[in-house]
Amino acid sequence: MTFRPVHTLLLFTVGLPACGETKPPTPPAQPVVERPKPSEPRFVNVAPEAGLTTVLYCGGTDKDHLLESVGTGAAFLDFDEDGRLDAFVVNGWALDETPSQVRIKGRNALYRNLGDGRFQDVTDRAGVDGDGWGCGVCAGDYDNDGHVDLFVTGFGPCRLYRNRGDGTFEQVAERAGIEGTGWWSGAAFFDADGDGDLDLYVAHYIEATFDEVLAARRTSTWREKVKVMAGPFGMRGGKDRFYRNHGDGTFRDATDDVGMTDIAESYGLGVLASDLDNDGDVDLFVANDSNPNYLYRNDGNGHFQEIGTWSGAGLNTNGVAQAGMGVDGGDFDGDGLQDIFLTTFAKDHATLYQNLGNLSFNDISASLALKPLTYETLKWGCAFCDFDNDGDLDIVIANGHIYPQVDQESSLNESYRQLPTLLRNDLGRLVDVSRNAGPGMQIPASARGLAVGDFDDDGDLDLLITAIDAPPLLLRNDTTHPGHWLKLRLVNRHGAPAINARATVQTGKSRLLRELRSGSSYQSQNALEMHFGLGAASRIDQLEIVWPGGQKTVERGLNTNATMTFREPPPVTAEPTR
Amino acid sequence: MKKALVPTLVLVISMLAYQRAVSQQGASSRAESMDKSAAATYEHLASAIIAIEATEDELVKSILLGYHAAAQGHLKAAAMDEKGRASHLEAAASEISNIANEGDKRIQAVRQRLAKAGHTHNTDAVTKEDFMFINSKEKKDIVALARRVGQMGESAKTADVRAVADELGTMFDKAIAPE
Repeated sequence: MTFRPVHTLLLFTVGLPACGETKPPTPPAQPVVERPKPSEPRFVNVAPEAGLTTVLYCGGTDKDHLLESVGTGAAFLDFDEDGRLDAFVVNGWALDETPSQVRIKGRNALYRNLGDGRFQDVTDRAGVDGDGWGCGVCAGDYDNDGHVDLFVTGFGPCRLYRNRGDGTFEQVAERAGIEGTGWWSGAAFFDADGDGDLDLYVAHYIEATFDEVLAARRTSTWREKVKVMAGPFGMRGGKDRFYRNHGDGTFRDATDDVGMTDIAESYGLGVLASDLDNDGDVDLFVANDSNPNYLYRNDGNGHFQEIGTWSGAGLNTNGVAQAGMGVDGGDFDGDGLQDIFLTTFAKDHATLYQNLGNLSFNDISASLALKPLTYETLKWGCAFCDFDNDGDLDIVIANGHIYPQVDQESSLNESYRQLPTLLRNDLGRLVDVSRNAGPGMQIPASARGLAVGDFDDDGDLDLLITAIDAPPLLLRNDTTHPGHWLKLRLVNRHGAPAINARATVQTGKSRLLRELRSGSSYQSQNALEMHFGLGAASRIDQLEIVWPGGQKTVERGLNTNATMTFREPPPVTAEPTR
Repeated sequence: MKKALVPTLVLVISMLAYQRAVSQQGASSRAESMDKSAAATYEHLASAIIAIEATEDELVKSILLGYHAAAQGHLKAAAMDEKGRASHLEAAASEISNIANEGDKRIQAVRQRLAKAGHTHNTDAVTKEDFMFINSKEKKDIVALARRVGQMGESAKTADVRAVADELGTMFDKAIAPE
């Protein structure tokens, strides 16, 4: 394989028109360079032989209530700090239809990576099984003890699993002050106020009781053909919450104090905590289902202003609030600013908001032809990831309908179980390579969660996907002739992953930006390590790491095809003055 | 709201039907009197429904007028206050966004409740969204203006600020003008 220099991507970003859907998509300008044949992607599902076999439940077969459609999330994390990515999947409950009652209370599953392609189910020993109806997961070391903790959202109380550092966890949500029941979905740890500990944002989807779930009947009609569950439009949305970390292992609900009062009670799902304006503090984007997305701008002191609509990232280019599900951030166009990718409902396109700087966004979905590429599927988990190590960010999406009834009516031409989408970035043009991406990409599932990480430590990114009423998929990336790569493990002063640290790798004229993040995708957690595809570059000219708090680490002349660990330097103390 | 009236109507009609049945043998003049009474009641109800809808129209219009006045106020302040220009412009952008969305977040939550009760207004031909005054074309233009205003920043020239204020005024007047 030969490679495409990333800097050429910049060519297409200049002068992109704000195209409406009614105009035909304008293909991005193609740079005049010799273009090698891109590598053929290949993903293989190795979940069964790896031992990831837990069935992930989500309600009954008919899906009468929306709760039975949202599914659960997944995480890649190294909980035992042995250098290998372990897998965690969240589980819901199974319901009987007649009478409507609980059939099985599903248990979460934590799988320890044994390093030989197999995983060991250590759920019981670790103490993270839970018995609530789980939804999402995010990770971060909230108590600064150097071990990555897990936060699991759900229908009912959320769970905070504190990692003891000996392979076991303790559930401390109530003790930590994270109280209240509700229908919680996406979440993310991030240091909102720069005080050195991780705060927490949790999206609240809909106000509902379990009695309502059991009593629900299908009263809506999908495309005038089949009776399906009602909602979410017309249901009462829940209020998202922000928890401030006191630094002593406890949190307090500070939603109103920091300006994040969710007065619209929008249907919150995906959460992206990221420094979107490169000003050194962490902003927050919330993908809202059927409501305008929120974009909270951080003023640098942990106070936020919601500017979604006028930032350009609240609505699509037609001024429409889409059914936002999952979200990811990444520097898609290589301009040093992180763009936002949003997944949406079926019969609507996914949206890519190009970051123009200063928290101004432009919906460039039309110019990327995202409508024909993503219109039919119902899209959930998503990630910017360079699956072929060629130096640019591709996009992967987990798909699956919420209405099983679509299978009963052939004229709808839809299916409940859908195939994932892999969009390869070919010089700024997205090309759907899904159906030629190996057998793992041809497994129909009503997929929801998606986490990205290199579980087999071979330098390319693998995928962990959850699906409703099915075991997870572990899609090993077997793409041949991948380019060079670099993996970074950025460790803070406490020994844990440095959430929201950023790294820029420079090779020749190309600069690749990554950010270490808690949460994002759909109710899921990507590996807390950074992956860079480097294409033909066999040497890194410069690596610059910006740690939370602003300190920098700069390294020059690094080798590639390696995993490197960098530790946050000690704080700079001011010289005493006399 | 309309939906809430349905059970009342059903009850009234059922009572009338029942009374009619038990008075089969009664004088036909009494039945006719009851028919008239039911029609008159329905007439009153129709007037109330129409009045309520007109009231809602006026209420939402006044809410939009409030956002517009607030936006113009912020733009005026931005034109005069060079130091605080950026924050005034951002505040104006927020108010303009509220016009585009036909309500701030509180109003949006109310609209969701109404939608749940089956109370909707106009369906946009392009986006299928419910709206009262601001159709999708107008919304798109107003959102674009909000973005522009929000991004003008402290270096914006006074003349440019005044120009966007005029632009907003024209857009707004057109949007809320009777069809």
